[in-house]
Amino acid sequence: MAELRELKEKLFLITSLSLAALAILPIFHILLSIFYNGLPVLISAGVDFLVDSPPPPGGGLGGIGPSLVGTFMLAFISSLVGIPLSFASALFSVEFPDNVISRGVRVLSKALLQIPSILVGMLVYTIMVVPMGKFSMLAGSLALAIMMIPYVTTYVEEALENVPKTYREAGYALGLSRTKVVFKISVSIAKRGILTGVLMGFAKVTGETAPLLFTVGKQRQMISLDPLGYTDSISLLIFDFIQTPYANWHRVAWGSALVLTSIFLLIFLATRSLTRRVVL
Amino acid sequence: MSSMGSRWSSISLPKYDRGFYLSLLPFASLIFAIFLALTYVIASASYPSISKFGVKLFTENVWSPSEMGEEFVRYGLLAPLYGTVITSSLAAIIALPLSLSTVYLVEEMTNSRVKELLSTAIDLMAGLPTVLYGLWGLDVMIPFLRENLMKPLHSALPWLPLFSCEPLSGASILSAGILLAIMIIPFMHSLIQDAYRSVPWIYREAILSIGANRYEYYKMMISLIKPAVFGSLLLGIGRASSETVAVTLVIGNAFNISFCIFAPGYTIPSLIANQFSESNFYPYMQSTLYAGGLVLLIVGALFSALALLMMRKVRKLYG
Repeated sequence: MAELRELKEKLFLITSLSLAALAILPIFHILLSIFYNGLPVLISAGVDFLVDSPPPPGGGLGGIGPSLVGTFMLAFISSLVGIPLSFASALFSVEFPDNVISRGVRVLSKALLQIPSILVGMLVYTIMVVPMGKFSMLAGSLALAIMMIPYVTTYVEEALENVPKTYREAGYALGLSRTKVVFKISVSIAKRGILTGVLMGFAKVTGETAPLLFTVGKQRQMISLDPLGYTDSISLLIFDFIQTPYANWHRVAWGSALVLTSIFLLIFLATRSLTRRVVL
Repeated sequence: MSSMGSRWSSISLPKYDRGFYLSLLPFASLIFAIFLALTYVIASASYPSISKFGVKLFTENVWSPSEMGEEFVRYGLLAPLYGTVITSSLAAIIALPLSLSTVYLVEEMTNSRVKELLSTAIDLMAGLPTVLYGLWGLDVMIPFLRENLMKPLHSALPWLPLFSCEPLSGASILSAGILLAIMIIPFMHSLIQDAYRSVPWIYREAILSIGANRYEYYKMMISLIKPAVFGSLLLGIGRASSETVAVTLVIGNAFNISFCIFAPGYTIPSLIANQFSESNFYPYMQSTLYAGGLVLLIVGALFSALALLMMRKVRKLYG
């Protein structure tokens, strides 16, 4: 009997170890594949890869300049709208938790997190692209902001809720007003958590594809900063190019994947170093 | 005014607090506005197709757009609905044992290096842009699965309906299911982990004090949070059913209802990704796509509500 138990335990340990290894194997394989396939492209295309426009089918490597600039512009404009809004609504729901709107903010921001990103793209297409008569960077930014708001709100809420009550009570005991307690105590203690949420939101929108499919117009021939003009993102370019039969476009897609991965890893490392230090 | 009371004051807010309250209120209301706009637009845009085709919109598999006139148009979303259900259930079923294993190792392992490696990997997986999963799935995973899983299974068990069809390009229901499983592991991992951590230490000590070995210990711990595990399965299915770009790249995009998992298929989001840009030119097409989105939204909301109820049950038990 005792032997059977031991056997079961051994079997369990081996299974869980190998299943866990299987679970995390793909991410390393993905990253390695991206470096393996993308690095030769970046090396042979050189720095121009970040500036030039994409090549014609079947000829050369060109670059992804317009898409790269588009990605940053889209992420920048959507953060400009999304981050202050998320911050304000998170503050509201943490500071005034016992009313209908705060409870709604909590429930809805969780619910919006679950909404398929492609539906957000459809929504923005219907309420903005159709009335304006054209695709635009602004429409794409709106779609991304909608994706970002529930995400950042949830993060900031969590960060603010983790501030110990005693710190706030100390502030009140000094006779500070609510506003002062919030900004001088809560926000400054939760600073790192809030910043992490903001960075995570930024990382999320730089990688999003689905909300941009029907909103930005996929203009990848020239660099444009016009918020009302057509634009593109790296993720859209990868999505489109990998579905074509052209070998050089496949190579461009892998090169772009390496650029996108580098941006993601940079932000990831930044958030890691932030959260690492927050442990008291 | 009493509804404005807070944790710290049950009396109504002082004047300077009310200013603070009022200045934040419009921002907080914005989430409501987004939610209302989303549901309103989707409901009103899907109304024409639902009223024209009725239940047939969801029970038939037809896709015959027509520019000639409304009487020739017929749409039925059965194939993408079927594909969505199969791929996302497959994904959640594959991801569950994997997530249970990663939770065990991260929570109970004493080797901090392995722990660190696992949780870093899972964080990376959670944040990686989905289009990169799709790129890898299409160019790396599919050729591998086709040679090492699909072909052997097909030649060994061709009489089994699941494996009965010849794996052609490799883009299939199975590929989509496996890729989705990889993508939802970090999500299910964090849901199960949260529930696991909520079990108080006295329960753990009680289990260990009766001499349970590691297997028996983990089995009992998981049975203590069973509703949350089931909830994470539901949320995993919801998450998988809404994934768009990665699935579009690996599922093969064909109106196909087949029990064979090597056959290409469609999901609602991949159908939308493929057809929406041209849908303006054909009567009822856009509305049909919106109706598909509406179904996703309703089912997703039901699953989330159910899952949240189950998770709350666990939290109440130990909170």
